[in-house]
Amino acid sequence: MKRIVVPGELVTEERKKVGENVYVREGKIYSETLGIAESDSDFARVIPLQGRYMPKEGDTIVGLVGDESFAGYSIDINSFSPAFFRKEGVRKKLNKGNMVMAKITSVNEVNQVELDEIKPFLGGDLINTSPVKVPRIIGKNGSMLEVLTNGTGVQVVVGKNGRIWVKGSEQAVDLLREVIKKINDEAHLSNLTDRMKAYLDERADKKDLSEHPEEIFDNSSDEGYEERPRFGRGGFRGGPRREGGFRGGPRRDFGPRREGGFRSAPRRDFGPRRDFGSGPRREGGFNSAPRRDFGSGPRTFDRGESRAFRPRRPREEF
Amino acid sequence: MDEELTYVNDAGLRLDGRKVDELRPIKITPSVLTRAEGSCYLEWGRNKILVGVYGPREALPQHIQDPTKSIVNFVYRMASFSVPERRNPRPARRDIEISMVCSNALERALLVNRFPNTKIDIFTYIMDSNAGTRVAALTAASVALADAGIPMTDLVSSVAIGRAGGTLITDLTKEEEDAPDAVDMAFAMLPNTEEIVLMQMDGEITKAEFDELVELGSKSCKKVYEFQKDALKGKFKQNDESVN
Repeated sequence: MKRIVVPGELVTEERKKVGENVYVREGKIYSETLGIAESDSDFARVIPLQGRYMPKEGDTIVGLVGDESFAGYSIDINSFSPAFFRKEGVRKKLNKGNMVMAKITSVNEVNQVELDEIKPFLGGDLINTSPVKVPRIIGKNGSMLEVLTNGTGVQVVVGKNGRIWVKGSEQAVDLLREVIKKINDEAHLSNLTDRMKAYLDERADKKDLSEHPEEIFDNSSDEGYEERPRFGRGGFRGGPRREGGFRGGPRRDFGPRREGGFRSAPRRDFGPRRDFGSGPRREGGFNSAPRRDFGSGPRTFDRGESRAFRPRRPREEF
Repeated sequence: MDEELTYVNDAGLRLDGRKVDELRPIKITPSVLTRAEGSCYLEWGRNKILVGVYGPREALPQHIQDPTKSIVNFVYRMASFSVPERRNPRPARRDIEISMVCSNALERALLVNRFPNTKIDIFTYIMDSNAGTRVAALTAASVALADAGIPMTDLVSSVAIGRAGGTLITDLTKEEEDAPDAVDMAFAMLPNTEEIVLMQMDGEITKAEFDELVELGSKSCKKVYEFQKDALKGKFKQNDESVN
């Protein structure tokens, strides 16, 4: 039985294995998202109708190359934050905006992703779809994908992150785009594959009939690209280490080192150091006359002249 | 006012003809904005509210990130034309406070710890108002969040309850809120667990009245919950008919 549930709605009261997008409270299973509840098998689960891509280990995704830094590339994988792909030991040169296929090798606690097997696509176009609809676009054992590729004659690579790489004639790609939108809108209905097949058969005139080259990845940058040396070996830019240091020509011979320091005349003789005199320290400090005696007794000030001590005039009464 | 209003007449009807526990008409439409990941337009009496949800997305600048949970950024804003006299559109103390209490309420329902270092933006814009905008905004925001497919344990249903003319009533209008003995309580809960996630009150009230008010609030919230559920499911039922 298929049933649409909202977050917090009961999926089943029976004890079942907890599948995706459900949680258990007081022994009952509830949905945590808007989706289709399935509880006929041993599992209780909800197939989401909306949602973002949550990176998972082993997923094949379609990414977009972003900024390049010294150590690697930042690749947008349609997740919370871009993945960082380290250059170390990689021959490929990627350019900003390149579409790439990659595999997620690990995801950490804060959903940061490590990628591997990165391959830039050779041309093509991108179709964005909702990541939760990707299983419907692939279908059971790839049945829907087969219908789509056969029906439109377009080369298709579906990334788990909701990005679809396509290559074919403009007309056929537009048709595919239309069909994918249709799948998106009708994902919660049954017989989707058959309906899409019928729809594509009706529009068979738009099919791309040309033969595609087998290679869909850009391997050009693999060839003739020097292996990048690792840090600490061979210097900054690769190649054998220059002699005489970075950016310098070979060290010139300046002859024997001059005496008396670099670029200076030999030290002249100024004669013996002058004597400024010594002897007992003068009393009363430096440069001053001996301390005078001012006598003892109380200090005196002329109070009458000081502003600070002038007695206040009494305030006028109102 | 010279003339004293009768807030509930002998027939048990209020100024606008509602019963004491009757809500104003509610109309909820999810998925109205194409650029937002989830959205909702809600009309509740004369309140008109538009909500857009974005995220979870990377929280920037980085120093606001929390590696244990996602930040819920609820933004409550009133249009300058949403009140009888033009309102300065600059967010005031009131807007900032409402934004805070509503994000705290939604955080109870959202599974925030699943999205570390991210932020969920909820922008609610009050286009027209007639009392109870914060509860309407919260109700609409909860629908928009579900529409965005963000996992949460429950929807948040919300309603205003209070007292006018000595009678406890639900879903007050501006006229009732201005009653001389008015009590106005914003009330939100998770309808399945009956956990209260928002409660703010103005006015003086007895303990017995308060208990009765909470009872009335939870009853009304469940009515609101039905509207939310129907709105979210209705979108897909419609498609069903068009195909078959």
